Amino acid sequence: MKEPRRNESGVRRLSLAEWDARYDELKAAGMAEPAYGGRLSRRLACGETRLATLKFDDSPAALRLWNFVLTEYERLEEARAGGEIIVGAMKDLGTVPVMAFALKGVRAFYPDGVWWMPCLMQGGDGLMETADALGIDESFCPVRAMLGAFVTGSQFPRPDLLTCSVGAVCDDFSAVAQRLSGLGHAILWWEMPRRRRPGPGEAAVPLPGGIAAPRAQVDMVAAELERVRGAISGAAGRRLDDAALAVGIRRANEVRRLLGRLREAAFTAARAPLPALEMLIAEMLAIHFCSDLDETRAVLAALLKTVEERAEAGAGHLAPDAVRVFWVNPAADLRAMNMLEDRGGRVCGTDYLFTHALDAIPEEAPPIEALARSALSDPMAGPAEDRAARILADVRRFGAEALVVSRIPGASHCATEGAAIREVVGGEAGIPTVEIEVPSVADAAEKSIGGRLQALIETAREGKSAA
Amino acid sequence: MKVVYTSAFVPPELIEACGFEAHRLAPRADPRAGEGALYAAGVCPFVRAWIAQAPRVDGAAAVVAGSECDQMRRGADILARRAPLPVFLLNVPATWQTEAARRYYRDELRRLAAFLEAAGGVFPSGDALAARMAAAERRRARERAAAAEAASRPAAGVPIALVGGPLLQEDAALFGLVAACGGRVAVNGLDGGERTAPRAFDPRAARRNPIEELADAYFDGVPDAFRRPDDGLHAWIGRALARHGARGLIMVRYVWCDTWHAETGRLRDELRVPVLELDLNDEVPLARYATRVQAFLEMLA
Repeated sequence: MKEPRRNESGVRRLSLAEWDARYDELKAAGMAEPAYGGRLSRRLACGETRLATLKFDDSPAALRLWNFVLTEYERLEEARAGGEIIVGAMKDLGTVPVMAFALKGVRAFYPDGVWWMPCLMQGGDGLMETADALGIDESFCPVRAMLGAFVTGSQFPRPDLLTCSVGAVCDDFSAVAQRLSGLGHAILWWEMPRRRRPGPGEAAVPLPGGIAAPRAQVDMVAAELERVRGAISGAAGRRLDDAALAVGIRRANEVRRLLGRLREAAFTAARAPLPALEMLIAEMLAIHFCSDLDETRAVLAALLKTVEERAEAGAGHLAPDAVRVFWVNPAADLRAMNMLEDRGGRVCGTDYLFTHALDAIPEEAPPIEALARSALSDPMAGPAEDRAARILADVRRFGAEALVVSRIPGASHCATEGAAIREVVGGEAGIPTVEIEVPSVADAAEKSIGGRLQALIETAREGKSAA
Repeated sequence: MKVVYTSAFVPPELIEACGFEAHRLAPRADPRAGEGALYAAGVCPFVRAWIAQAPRVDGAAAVVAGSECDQMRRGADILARRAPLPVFLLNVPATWQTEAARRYYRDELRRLAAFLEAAGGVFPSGDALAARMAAAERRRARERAAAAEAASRPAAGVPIALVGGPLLQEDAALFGLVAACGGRVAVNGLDGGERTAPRAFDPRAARRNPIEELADAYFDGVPDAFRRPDDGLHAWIGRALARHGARGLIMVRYVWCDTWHAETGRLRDELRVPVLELDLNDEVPLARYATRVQAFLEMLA
């Protein structure tokens, strides 16, 4: 096999086939792996054929990240077999899992995460077809795959407790979850009010992320989370008390702080020490710790070490003058992240719809109130201007030179939100922006998506030259 | 002066008690309305037209939107940035089974009253609100009696139910289309129809604490697709179909409306009558749906 091309800094992006040779090399050099480790190419036998079209970072830390993420449902099955309680935390993107992991023997996962399965299996999973048959067609966002996963039971074990935040959430998800409920899956619905700014003279509470909400809204969410606490306690057969919650919050914050350091190091290094694809996957760990909080910490620590070493050595992917791009929303096809880098763009700043899961949960407040504050800072719960303001601040902080809004096909919030964000960020920061729509398998749209990304990169380069 | 609204959870009694005329806007189809964010692919035609037209209603002093759907929530944000009028977004909880959700909705109505006072109205006294509620109750009682009387008369046409959200003005012609195809709308489960009427006010409770009774009547009385769980909607549909002997159901929704669209599958699973789904679009004239409606009614005849 041809040796993959290293750039002058010694870092490579590898194809799946090239990873096999790299794997042998690392094993021969004594690489130790956790139980879920192994060659990435073995996942092809599981039908995850999209992997064969991706380019990966070549580090052992990246290998561990991929193996951790790709084996999640198998690890969940093992946990179930070992007698652990499994909580399916739908939609809240970062709050209920903190509560669940606070009790020993309970673990949470994120059923919505199966939205990437049609991408990974390039449609071979049949999840979308199952959703179609239930009336949830392609006018809904790809998260409808979750309905197919529950109905077929083909992906993850049936949870002991299923929660879903509703209210100020995307309609697609709420509708899909309701269809699931209508099929007999018991769901604990908890309310997420639409966050608003406190009125004049109204008691206000600061939230993570530099925003504020009325006291009444924080109290409302806290009351809802008390219901969730009761349900988790009931499923586990023991009380999830404040002391356990406080410890759980501290552990979650350790993960969030690690991720914060990783983002800071990766986005501010002179060259991209880790590709956009691995950074996306790493950020996703914040939502539910990929069903294993301790291992998430270990995976992130290994990535951080790699990134810091590379940054120190000036090593990294892409040319040093790669255009620094801020990316908004997760892409339904993971290959979109490769597409950007193939065209000379480097991700320096992200908002994948769960910035509230990146910010530390306040540790000085009573635990349920702290979690309520964290949940209310969800970018989805508030106006697009709040989200745009945070993106603008991060664009400036990380020195982004261009902005990509990645539309999620069919998603109710994407219809208007992208334009609002582009208006604020493009106008205030004076950087070029583009909106692309990325389907679960974007091969047919690659020319169009690639063309738009190319145009963005070229426009940003021209702006740089002119400056 | 008018307060423009559309949500079934915005009580017109409260708007009137604050000294305004309550104007429930059914907008005209306007596919090119609201250049920019609202003219993007994926925007619900009703929301697009409503957001564009609400601030332009003659005599409008304020606009009140409801939070029942994501697109209306976001449309209200756009409106608040651009409209020359004050804009209020009433946060209606999706959940209904807890005291916290009920209390939150009551507080939202109090916040709405304060907003309307700031918009040039008055904060309603208990007596003023109770009087408006009593008047509305008398009017609804007359309407219910008239409807019952009409239902008791022999009527031509296959009885069907129309269920769904709000309609653009042009699409109100659907009632005529059903009649022209040999059907009769026996159950109006659309926004503005019998489904969205609040439960009857309790006169004693209305005198004792009018805003709480008002809130409870709407909160408990309006089954909707956005509520979680939505069992109240399905129970209401089942009862209404049985009461009126409807032989089929037409689900009416706009393209990109996830909330109502997702109901169709469950209705097909659970109902014993056939279900037809019409996904209306502001760029497609209603007449284009005539063949499907006709075929559906012929099958039911």
